[in-house]
Amino acid sequence: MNFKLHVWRQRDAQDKGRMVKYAVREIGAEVSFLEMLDLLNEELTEAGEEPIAFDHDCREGICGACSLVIDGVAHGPGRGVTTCQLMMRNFRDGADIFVEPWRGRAFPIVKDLVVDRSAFDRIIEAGGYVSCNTGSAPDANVTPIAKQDADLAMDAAQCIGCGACAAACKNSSAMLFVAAKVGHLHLLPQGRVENQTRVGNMVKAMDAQGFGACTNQQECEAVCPKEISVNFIAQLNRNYVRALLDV
Amino acid sequence: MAITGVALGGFVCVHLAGNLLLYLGPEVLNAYAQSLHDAPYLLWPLRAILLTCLVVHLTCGITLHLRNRKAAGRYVKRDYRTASLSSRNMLLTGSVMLLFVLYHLAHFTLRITDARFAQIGHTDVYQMLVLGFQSPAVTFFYVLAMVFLGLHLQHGLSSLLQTLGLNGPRYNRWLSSGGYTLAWLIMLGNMSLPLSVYLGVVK
Repeated sequence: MNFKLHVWRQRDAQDKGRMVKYAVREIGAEVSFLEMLDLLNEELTEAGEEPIAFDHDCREGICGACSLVIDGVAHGPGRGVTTCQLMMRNFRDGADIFVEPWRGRAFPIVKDLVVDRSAFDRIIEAGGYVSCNTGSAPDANVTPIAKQDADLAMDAAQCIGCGACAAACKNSSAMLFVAAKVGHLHLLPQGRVENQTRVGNMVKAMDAQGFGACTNQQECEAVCPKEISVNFIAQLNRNYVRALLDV
Repeated sequence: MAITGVALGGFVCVHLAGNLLLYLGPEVLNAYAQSLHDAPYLLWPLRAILLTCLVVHLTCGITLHLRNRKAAGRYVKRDYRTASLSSRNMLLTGSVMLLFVLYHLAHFTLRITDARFAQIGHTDVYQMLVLGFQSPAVTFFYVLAMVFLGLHLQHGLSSLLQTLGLNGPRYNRWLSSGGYTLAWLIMLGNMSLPLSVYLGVVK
């Protein structure tokens, strides 16, 4: 398969950046999107050009490192997959493909397609933890947890913190990320100690990092590689009001 | 946005219900208008609440827009998967609504845009409507404004419970489609009034 890539190139944080066209040829349909970029980078390196910088790590959809907006959609045209799980068979032969980094004030570009996502770390520091004794893992089922709570907490805990939610949001809001973190900790007895303070602290941290505010467009849910539901945002709003009213 | 939206949306519903009395003839509609005028102790506090809600709604909306515009990233190419047209243009549809409300107040409440209204009593709403919607331009503007109202309410009504955290996975689908349906019913109901006068259904 052949493709015409339009890739965002930006030397460093200060550079203005621009789209650059690349032609990639004879790519197998079973090649992943990142492998396709690897092949392009090999060519660029051999030609003495600067390879395209992009984030990646596990390449099996569990680490949350990869972060590309492909044809205007965070993580590209696949559903419930990360960029690294996207295969070239999802594209039409000869297609023009636009590749851009996550964008938003809270995700400054470091280089090319790499962005600084440490804003998420600072939100986690504000409340994404539990105050309980650590040590070796306790036996299973020592603490009784209702099946439906455990399942729901697990749904929220699937968040890999990739940032697609904020990248896809028209307002660059990180609500789904915060909602997933708050949701999973709130549902479990271990997280209950901070229930009254966690929501406020994490939302405040989100605002301080420069993320926008949620306007219920559900674009986050549609691009989330773990398909985390916006129901967690409703739950977050509920918990926020509850903490505010101190009930 | 959601709380003041509920109040403003509630007013739109009551306002529509009152206006639909047009179809029951001049006596019923004008008697309703008269009864509102006869109860200033009810009318003015309600107007004050509405105005407050409108101001808060506007302030929140503009603040929200400015904040989100500052936060937002700009893509060379962007493709929305689910975000509806209506949800992406709340500021635009809201601004058109504000202009419409100002004109509507000048038209039927302050009665300064139509010289012929000077001949008719304040509570002869029926006659005002019949005269007011003879003009194709006025009728067209009202109908067009209702499209914007429909779009504004479509996102507002279908998502306000999400903001307040009062929805739940079991009935979300019904709540959201209920919001859509209500928005379009309100829009069609409001559109029918100027249109039926203009087309001569109501004389």
